[in-house]
Amino acid sequence: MKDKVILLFILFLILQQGCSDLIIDGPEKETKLGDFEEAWGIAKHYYPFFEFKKVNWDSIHTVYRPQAMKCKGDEIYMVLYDMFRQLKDGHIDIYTEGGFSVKTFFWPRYYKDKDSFSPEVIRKYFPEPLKLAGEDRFEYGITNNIGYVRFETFSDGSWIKSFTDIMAYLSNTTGIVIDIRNNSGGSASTADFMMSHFINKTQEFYSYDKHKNRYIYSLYPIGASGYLKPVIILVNGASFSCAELFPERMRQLNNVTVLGDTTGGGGGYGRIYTLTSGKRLRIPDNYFTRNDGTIVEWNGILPDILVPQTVQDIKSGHDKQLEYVINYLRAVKH
Amino acid sequence: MIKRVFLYLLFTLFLPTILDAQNFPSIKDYFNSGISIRGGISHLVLKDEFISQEKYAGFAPYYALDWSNIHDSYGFHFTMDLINTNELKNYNMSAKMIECSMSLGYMYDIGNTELYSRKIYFMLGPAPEIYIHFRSQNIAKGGLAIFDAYSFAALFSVGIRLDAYYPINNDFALAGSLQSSLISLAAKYIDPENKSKSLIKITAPYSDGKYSFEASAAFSYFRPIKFQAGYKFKFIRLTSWDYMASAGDNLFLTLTYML
Repeated sequence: MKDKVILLFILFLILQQGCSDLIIDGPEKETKLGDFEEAWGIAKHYYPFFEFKKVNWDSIHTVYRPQAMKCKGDEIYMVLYDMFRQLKDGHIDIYTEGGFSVKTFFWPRYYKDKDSFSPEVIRKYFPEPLKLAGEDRFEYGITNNIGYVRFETFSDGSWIKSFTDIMAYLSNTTGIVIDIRNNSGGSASTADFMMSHFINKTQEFYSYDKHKNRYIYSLYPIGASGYLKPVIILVNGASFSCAELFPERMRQLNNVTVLGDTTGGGGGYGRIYTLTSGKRLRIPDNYFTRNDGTIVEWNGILPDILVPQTVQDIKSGHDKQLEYVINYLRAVKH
Repeated sequence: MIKRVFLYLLFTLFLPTILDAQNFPSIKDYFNSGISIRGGISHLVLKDEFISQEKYAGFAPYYALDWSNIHDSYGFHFTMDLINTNELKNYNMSAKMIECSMSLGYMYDIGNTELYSRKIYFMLGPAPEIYIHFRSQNIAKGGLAIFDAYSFAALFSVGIRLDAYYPINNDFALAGSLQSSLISLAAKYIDPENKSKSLIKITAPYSDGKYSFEASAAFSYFRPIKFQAGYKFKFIRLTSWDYMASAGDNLFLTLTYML
């Protein structure tokens, strides 16, 4: 009887505490104010848009430091998020310690256009099902002897090599549509790789950096021969970052036209910084401009031919922008 | 407070006077054959270093369905359970979590022994199991972020289960079980930029696994209905990627329709 009582008492004590609390513990040390000061300091040193956006970053420090001092546990994420939201920059991300990124801001034109585009509606304009390539990131086909290729990212990876095969497949068309609506951007090197398929000799392109210095860089042709026939690049308000760099640089070629709606306005080059605690922060430290030197950040790039599109257009089964492009290219004399 | 009430109730249930030992034919009389509905409350603690180093904790309702039966040479359990909560907290930060599992246990009589002048019966067998875990973390205040941070894990395990039955009299018995995964096909959501790690791995119990312990008291006064009250501790641990641990203290009540 005594053994039973002792056994039950031990069980009772364990249950009072909860085995789960005993087994799982929290972090060994607190790093909240350190995270705040590091993150603020990185932005202070590298962020290129304070003057353009009329933000007094020292005042922001005064406002948010007291909040950071009171933080416990993961509350520091909220403070960092609120602080960086003041910059209204779609290139500023906070990463969890395992690498999951959370955007601090989505630009207004993203909300306007993200639903006024539908791959399902696009497919109705093609007599045969669109083909997939590059880990299913490219969708491409031909209608009315006009080539079409769509992709939603410019991220790095082996998938981009399929673009060379796609261009070979589309080489006999009378024109090509490159659809980068709802493309959130990625790597400038991916953009350069794709641009290299539209030249048949070494081509110089120019750009401006944050010090307003114009610089020239050269691209070399890729593929059997460069595609020199008419090219239309489709963009909308959800086209961002590299999906703005690409059409703006491509416009330096005579056969390229940009059509659609004003893009999102993400002109920064984001770089990832790791805080001492292991948290990461992506923040721009440089930017690109339009061909005339205007900052792309917040302004976006303006299409050569403005064709707005609404959610109602898509719901009625019409992609007005794609219809315009197809009719435009059919009318072009060859 | 609710947890303490359940604990005191459970403690009281263990105290009734133990009757004289009687002769019991076999384990078939005490195996929990039938269809059971279980409900209770779970105290959860979760830490997933893919999200942060902090631990999150809270209470959640716990539900389970079970179908068990015993044949001449073996018994089986088929159990599905679910925990779904929006209230895991780390100070003012909250996380949502869904955990569900489906397990199948094939149990074989491995004998019995005496404990305090009564027989305790044991069954042992393989127990394959599927476990799925999903967590959503709102990093921004008031849901301003369009997308939450989230984490996902799954285990497809072959494991082992040990059951023990300790009948006190014809209508009252104590039961317990221990279950552990042995080898698992595990999957976890990882940083898409981290190309050095694979999303899916075959893992051993010392690195990744699911473990549980259960103890309960069963009352069969109103056959064919059996009533059970108990405690279950569940622990899941993954170390092959960013460290993740999920543990739950569950207090439950079960209603069984005996077949």
